[in-house]
Formats: sequence, C-alpha cells, structure tokens
Amino acid sequence: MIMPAIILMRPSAILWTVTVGAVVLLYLRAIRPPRVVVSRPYLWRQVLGEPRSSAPAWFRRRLGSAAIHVGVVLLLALAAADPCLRRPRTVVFVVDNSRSMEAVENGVSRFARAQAVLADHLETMGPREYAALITTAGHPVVVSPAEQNLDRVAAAAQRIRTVDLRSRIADAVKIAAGLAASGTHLQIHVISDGCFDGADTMNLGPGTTIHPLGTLAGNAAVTRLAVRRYPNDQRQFQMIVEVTNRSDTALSAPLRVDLNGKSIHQADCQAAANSTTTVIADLESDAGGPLVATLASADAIAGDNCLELILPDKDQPMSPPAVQPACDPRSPLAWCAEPPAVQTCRVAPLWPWLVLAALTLLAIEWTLHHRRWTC
Amino acid sequence: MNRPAQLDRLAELEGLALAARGLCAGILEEPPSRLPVGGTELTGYRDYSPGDDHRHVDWNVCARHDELRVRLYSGRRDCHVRLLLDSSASMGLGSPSTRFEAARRIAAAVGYVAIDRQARLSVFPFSDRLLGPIGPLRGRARLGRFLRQLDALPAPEGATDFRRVAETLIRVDQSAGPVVIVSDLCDAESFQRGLEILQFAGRSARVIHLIDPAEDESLSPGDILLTDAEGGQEWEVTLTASQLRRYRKLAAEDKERARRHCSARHLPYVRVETMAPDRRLLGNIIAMRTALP
Repeated sequence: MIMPAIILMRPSAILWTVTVGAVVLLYLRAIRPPRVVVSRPYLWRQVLGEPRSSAPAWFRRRLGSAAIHVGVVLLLALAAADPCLRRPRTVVFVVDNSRSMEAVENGVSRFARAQAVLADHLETMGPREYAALITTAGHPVVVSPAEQNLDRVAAAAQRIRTVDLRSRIADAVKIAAGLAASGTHLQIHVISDGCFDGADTMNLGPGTTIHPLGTLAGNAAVTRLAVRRYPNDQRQFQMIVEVTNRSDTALSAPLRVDLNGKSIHQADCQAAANSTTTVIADLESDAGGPLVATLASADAIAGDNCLELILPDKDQPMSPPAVQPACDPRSPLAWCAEPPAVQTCRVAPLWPWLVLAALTLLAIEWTLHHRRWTC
Repeated sequence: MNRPAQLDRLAELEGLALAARGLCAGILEEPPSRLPVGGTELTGYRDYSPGDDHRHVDWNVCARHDELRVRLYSGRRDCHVRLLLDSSASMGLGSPSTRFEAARRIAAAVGYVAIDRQARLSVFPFSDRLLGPIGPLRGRARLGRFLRQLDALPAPEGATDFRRVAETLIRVDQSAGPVVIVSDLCDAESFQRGLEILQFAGRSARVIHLIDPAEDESLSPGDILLTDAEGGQEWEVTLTASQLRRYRKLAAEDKERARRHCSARHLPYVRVETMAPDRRLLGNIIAMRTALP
C-alpha cells in the first residue's frame, strides 16, 4: 500500500511566511507586559504576598504562549505552501479508436466501454490535476492537451469516433510522455483492446497502465468484392466475393448479394477457422448500379460484414474491385482477467485544515489567558 | 519660564493673595497663644519654668514677690512659614502633570500668600532627608526669586522618610510657625510618626495630600510589571480581578487613614487631586481652616 505523501505546491512560500511570521512574532514578543509604577509597594505586598514568587509561573506561561505562537506561525507557513496529500498528476489517456474497438461484446461495444473507463478515471481526479487525451488510430492525435478543466476533457472524449486504421499505441505513448504539466506526476493510461501490432511484446514504461478491453470474440468480414462482364455477352457478369473468417470457430453464414436494392443472389458461405473463402457466381443484368454483398454473421464487428461496388452498365468499362481489411478483434490482452482498479487519488488541499488548526491554537491560548484574567 | 507666562502666573498668584487677604483665617492661621515671646501686648505673668528665656523674666515683679515670673504677650508676632515639599521619586508619577508639578504649583500659591502677609517663608524639599532650603524669604521683592528657585528645584528622586525629615527640621529650625506639608503621603506610617514629632515639638502642621487617581485607574488584570517608584524593585505578576479589587480597597483605606490621623490630632488636612489645580482649588487650599480644639 502506497502511503499518501504530503507535497507542497508552493515550497518557497514557507520561507517567506516563516520570515514574515518570525518578524511579527519577535515584534509581538517584544511587547512586554505593561510597566506600572506604583508608589505604595507595602499595599501590594499585602495583596500579593511576595510578588516575586509568581515570576516563575509567569515565565512558564509566557514560554508556553510563545510556543503556541511559534506553532501558529509554522502552521500558517505550511498552509501558505499549499500542501496536498500527494503530488498532482497529469493523467494522459491513450484511447484506442481503431476499428477493432467497435467489437460488440455482451451488447456493449469496446469503445463504449473505453469511454466508460475514461469517464470513471476522470471522476477520480482532483481539481488540481491535469488530464490529456490522445487517440491512436492512424497517427496519434492529441485530442485534448493537458488541462485542469476535466469537463472539457470528458466532452472531447465523447467526440472521438473509431477509424478504420491501424492503432499506433507505442507512438501515442511516446507523445503522452511529453504532455506532463510542470510540477506534476505523469501517469499514462492506455485504454485498448490490444488489437495492434506488437501488442503482445509492447514494453510499457513505469507510470503507464494498460486497461485491456475485449475478449477472444472473432470476426468475419467481406474483404473483397469484384465483378467482370463476359466479353461475348455483356449482359452476363461474374461476381467474386471473398469472405475472411478471423475467428477460432468455423463460419457458416448466408451471403446475400443485392443490385440496386434487389436481391440477385444468395449463398451459404462456409469458411474454416482463420481462413478465407471465395464465393463465385455468374449473374445477369443489363443495367449497372450499386452491388452490395452482405454476410449475415453475428460476429463482433458488424461494420465489415458488407461491401459495396458499383456495377457498370453494359458496354461500360469495369470498375476496380472493392476491398476492405478484415479486422481481427481477438484481443491479445484477453488474458488480463481484470482491468486495473481505478485508484481514488484525489488531491485534497490541506491548507484549510492547517488554518483551522492555527485558529484553534489561538483560541485555546486566548481562552486560557482570559480564564486567568477573570478568575 | 518665558516672561508672558511668568506674568500670567504672577497675576494669578496676586489674585489668590488678594482673596486670601479677605480671610481672617486660613492655611497660615495660627492658634492664639499666650507665650513668653513674640507678642506685642503684655497680657500677664506666669511662673518661670525651665527653658524660658531669661530675657523675659520680669525682674521687678521678681523683686516684689521674691519669685521668678516671666511676662506673657499676645497679639501679632513674627510668622515664619515652612513649606515642606515632598521631592521623593513617587512625586514624579502622574499624567499628564506629575504630582511634583502640582505640588510646586500649590507651594507657589501658599508661598505667595505667606509673603504677601509679611511672613517669612522657607521651602524645604525633602525625600528621605531634608534637602537644601529655599529662603527664608520675606517681602514682595523676593517673590520673583522665590518662584524661580521653585522652578529650579531638581527632579524628584529618592525614597521617603518623613520621620527623619521631621526630626531634622525641629533640630535645625527651632523657631515657631506653621509647617505646611505638601506630599502624596505614600509612606503613611512614616508620615504619621513625623507628624507626631512635629506636633510634640509644638509646630502646627498642615497637610496637603496629593492624590493621583490615574495610578489606580491605569491598573487592569493581566500580566503586569509592577515597579516600586522609590525602591526601583520590579515584580512580574499576573494580577487577577479579585487582587485588584483588594488593592483598591486597601489604597482607599490607606488614604482615609491619613485623613483620620490628621483629624484625630486636629491637624488641617486637605486632599487634592494631581490634575493641575485651578485657581478655585488653590483658593480652597489657601482658605483651609485649621481645626482647632
């Protein structure tokens, strides 16, 4: 268990406050009790007995009073230094927004879970802490630089969308290392499903925590759609649909082909685990139009289950094939049973308590003094 | 003192003297006496007693009766006023004006009236001993000198020992006449003994008791540094409200004891606060009647 450490936000304030406090204290201590010149000492002897006998108690009490005053000055000096229980952090959230984060598991997409994790972390942050946000798909993008307005960071997180690009977590972490605000302690939280190159060998430095999302759920995708008209009969064309199965189980799903919104072909697509299969069909149509191949598969990523191509009209030049990658959502981080717990590490300012303690000391000192006077 | 101020002061004192002339009695009044000396009218004879001046023995009567008889006189006689001015350190207390300043002002008034009445005047500052006197002075021509010497008196210092002062006074100055004491009576025991000595020596004493109300009013409960004005001793004490009440009660009793002591011995006594005495107050002091038996 890491014990919270008291750190000072303005250490130099101690020096100034102690100096000023010492001057004020010396001035106050220099004010001796009022000297009263009396002309009838014999009366005072009757009243006080031997007055000098009270001098030691008088001295002790003034010594105690001086100690309390010194304590008050030190407490105020410490309060001026603005201590808090731990060093404020700059928390950089590296959010994976690649296509694999769209994988839906248990009815919730990974990206939605990532946003929930991010929101939970923002909730635990104190008002003096900084948060920054980086997305990783394609090139790392600093969506929000380090700032203390956590609401703005949360709003920026809501605007992030997934992109069909590879995630570059390592680069994003390098950028995150340079976002620490001065005087703060850097923490990097990587929120990802691990579906990026080198995820299994990535070496996260100290202060970097990965929040794994996702399971071993597979994905099947229509990865290629191509057509060609026969030269001797322009009404007929051949359609080639490539289906890739990124799953540890065999695929068996219906494949439907629509032209101009009308179904022109249906087939049962069979694919072994981690394999690619091709569906070839000869079809006939004079007119061209949007040709859409849809794989009716209940996999993790629904977005890549269909692919569209424009079929040219008869006697028109052929269009190139449509291609899309098959995202593999099987998370290499799925072995992490539990994501790291969100640490509650609010930075609580201590100066109000110190001022309260100083005032309490003064009140005690005043009360004792007043009691003596009125006894 | 600059000249206009001195003129103002002289005018004020002249006014006091004029007022005092209208008084058939006052602070300088002496009890009528039938004494072997000092009178202007022969009123009788009495038997000689040891100590009587041989010059006052009526030798004719002595021859007729074969016994020693001395003449008795009454009426106006030479008056020698002695002003005992307390110059001990406690007289330096008081604010805004000190007790000593008030005492000097009173001494000036009493001295002026005495000189105006053709009396001889001697001023004896004292602390624990009799200090160098001013005078004796007689005649209005000496008034300016008297006032200057009064202003030139050194600052009050030293302890008070009025008993020793009284003993010294009756030893160095044996002539009769009123003795006016201006003091804060801060050592009541010593003053009582001193007054008894003067009375026993046949001197008619008058006491002007200076009271400094600020001394008691400035006290408040808490940590204070009590300093003995005359001894210089310091006490660091924490004064409680009950102790302060007790002190005030004792102080009031102490002042009252001085008054009772004078009253019991028929000595004129007046209590004056150290606020600069105004003309009316000085007039009251001058008009102070002796409490004769």
